[in-house]
Parts: sequence; structure tokens; C-alpha cells
Amino acid sequence: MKAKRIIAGIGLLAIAGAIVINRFTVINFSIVNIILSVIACGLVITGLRSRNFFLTLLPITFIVHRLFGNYSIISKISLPSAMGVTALVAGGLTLIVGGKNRRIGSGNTDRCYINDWSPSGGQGGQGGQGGGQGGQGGKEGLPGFLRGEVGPVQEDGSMQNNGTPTDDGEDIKITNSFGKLTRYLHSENLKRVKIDNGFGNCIVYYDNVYVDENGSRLEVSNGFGQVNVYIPPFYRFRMKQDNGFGSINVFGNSSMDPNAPLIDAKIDNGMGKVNIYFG
Amino acid sequence: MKIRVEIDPSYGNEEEVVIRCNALSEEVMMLQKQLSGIVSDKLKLEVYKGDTVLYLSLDEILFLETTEYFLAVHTAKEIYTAKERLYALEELLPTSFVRISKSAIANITNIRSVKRNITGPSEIEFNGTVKRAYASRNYLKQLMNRLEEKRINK
Repeated sequence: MKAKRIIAGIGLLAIAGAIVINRFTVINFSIVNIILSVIACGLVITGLRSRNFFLTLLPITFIVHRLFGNYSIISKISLPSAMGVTALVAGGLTLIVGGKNRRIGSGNTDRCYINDWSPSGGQGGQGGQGGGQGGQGGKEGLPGFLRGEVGPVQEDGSMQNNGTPTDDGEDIKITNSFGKLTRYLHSENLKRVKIDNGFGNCIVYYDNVYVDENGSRLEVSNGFGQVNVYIPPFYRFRMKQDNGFGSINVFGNSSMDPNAPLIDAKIDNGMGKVNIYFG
Repeated sequence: MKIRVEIDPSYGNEEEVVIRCNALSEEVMMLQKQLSGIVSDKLKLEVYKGDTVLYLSLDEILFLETTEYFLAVHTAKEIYTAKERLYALEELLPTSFVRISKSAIANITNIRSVKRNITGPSEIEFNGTVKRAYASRNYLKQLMNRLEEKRINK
């Protein structure tokens, strides 16, 4: 829904820009060009979302050539040639960064987290105002959970749920395109975690996770963003990395115990940053 | 504001601070938070690890972060869950706890470094752990001011 709003917004901006440019007679805008611009913007957005360089760059080339084709620099290269060059560039970037047209949410996974456009996706977004009970003074002024005493679990209306995380299952897929996504994994028998991050910041905690003696797989695919994965230090760790122009860092130490369950990681990083933390 | 200390040998072992005021002004609330900060080592936060209820000292907390299902309470080695909402806790926690983003509050006493980032969230490192938290640009100035106040006070 938000993507549609953004596409519509960009379309309106494109029309507004076209009208202004047309007034200054920089380029001759026709209604056909305006419509093509809007379609191109939509394709670019779709391409960015699916991390498809072809779908992102080809519409840009087409529309730039169509709108600014009269300029001497651009007129020196024909439209088919420009599209061919763009296709080569997109192909090169795809090979370097590893982007491909992924079907978001597809696959046989127990739990699939997706964050495409939300700037703070996955967060509670609790930015409201609190009550004034903090100013009442003394322990009586504090709720049960902040008192310096041991007591029964307080049940009041302000609780959002029972606070107990649900089990995410054996096979977890996390997809983040833009914005920030934080996930706390809970699994009684984790087999595989697949993290797919585009431009955003994705943070994953192996919070309450059990890995049996057969181990677990961790697959990270990162384009331009940052992925932080926090793994408890009592697991063994093995990593196969494929890094483009970004960086893959490991902080802390994993277990050296040969009997400890193994987390077998495959990190595919383009131009972003992948950090693995043990602790 | 008058400050008065009454010494009464007949009083029990536990000291009590009472603030008398005709209204709950910002100054009074600040004073209450400051005092809470001083005695924060005695305050406990009720947290959960699975089915176990624990009472965590506030000093141990690095940061608190909301998720879609619960409030995550991070210590150096563990992640606990809490049932309260972040904004409710923000009102009650001592001044050493500072909002760092829409979804997180950090304990500045445990902060080791802040890696400032002009284009995105700034990375916060904590003492004795590899864990990181991120301060958004909207809250970074407030955090840096609070850290600066703490440095001058020392």
C-alpha cells in the first residue's frame, strides 16, 4: 500500500516537474512523455524493491534518452545502443552485487519476516505519552515491576500481550529491503536462517534458539545495507564468504568445542556490511 | 525550593525521601528522577526469560528495545523480555536512561563509545560486550548532551 502511495507521489512530482520544465522550454514535454515518465518511475521503484538492476536501470535510460535526446551529448548514442550499454552495466552490477529478482516471501519457510518500505519496520512504534505516575514519589509511586521487591506478576491493561515470544520454527526467512528491521529469533530446533537485505539495516538476534547436534545454516545475502547477526558464543561457527566491495566482520569468539553445535554460514555481500557478533 | 534533612534516631534503617509540593511540576519530576537514579542500584526491573521471572538490576541493562511482540531488555550477555511499554518505562527510569530512537532507550552509564554517522543512525558501543545499539539522528543530540553532562559532572 505504501509502495503504491510512493509510486503515485513520484508520478505527481514527475508531472509537476515536467510542467515546470516545459514552461522554461528546456525540453518539449508531451503527454506521452509524461505518461512514460510515470511508468518508468514505477518500474524503477519495482526494480529497487526486487533488487533487480535491469528493471531499475533500463527504464531510467529509456526515459532519459527520450526526454533529453535532443541534447548533443545524448544524441550521439542511439536509443538501442544506450539500452544495450545499460543492459551490460546492469549485468555487471548483478554479477558483482549478486542481486537477482527474488520472489519476496516465497519458499518453504516456517516464519517469514518481510520489511519492504517501512522506515522503522518491525518496531513497535510506541511513541505515545506515558502516564504521570512516576512523580508520585517513593516505592508506592512505582509500579510493581520497578519496585525493589519481589512480588507476583502484575497483570494490568497496559500489557500488549503475555510477553512470551512465539516459536519461529525450524526454517526462518527474513527479508528487508529498506529501513530498519530488528528480529529476535526463537526456535526450539533451528535448522536454517535466511536473511535477505537490500538497502536497509537488518539486525537479527539468536535470542532463544536451540540448535541440535546436526547444526544450523545461516544464509545472509546483503546488497548495499548492513546486516548484524548476534549469535550466542557457545556455538561453533564456520563461514563461507563471498564479498564484493563491502565488508564482512566477525566480532567476539565462537565456541572451539568440537562437540558444540555448528552454525554453518554462507555470507554473500555486495557493497554493504555484514557483522557477525558472538556474545 | 527548600531542602531539609531531618535526623531522627527513632527512624528505621531505610531512609526515605519525601518531596512535598503543591503540584507535579517539571522540576519536581526531574528531582524525583534524579533521586531515583541515585538509588537505581536498588531498583529492579521485572523481566522474563522463557517461563522464569527475574528481577534485574537497572545497572545491568544496556538498552531496551521494542519489538512487535515484546520489549527486549539487553544486558551484556542476555536478552530478556519485559511486558511494559517503552514510553511507560521512559517516564519511570532514572535519568541515566536516555531515548536513542523511536524504539529504544539506552543506559548511558554503560556506553563506551558513540560512532557518529551523518547519513544514518549512529552506532553505540557498550562496556564489556559486543552488542551495539543505534541512535537515530533525531535523538542523537539529546544523547550527546546527556553524555556531556555526565562527563562534566565527573
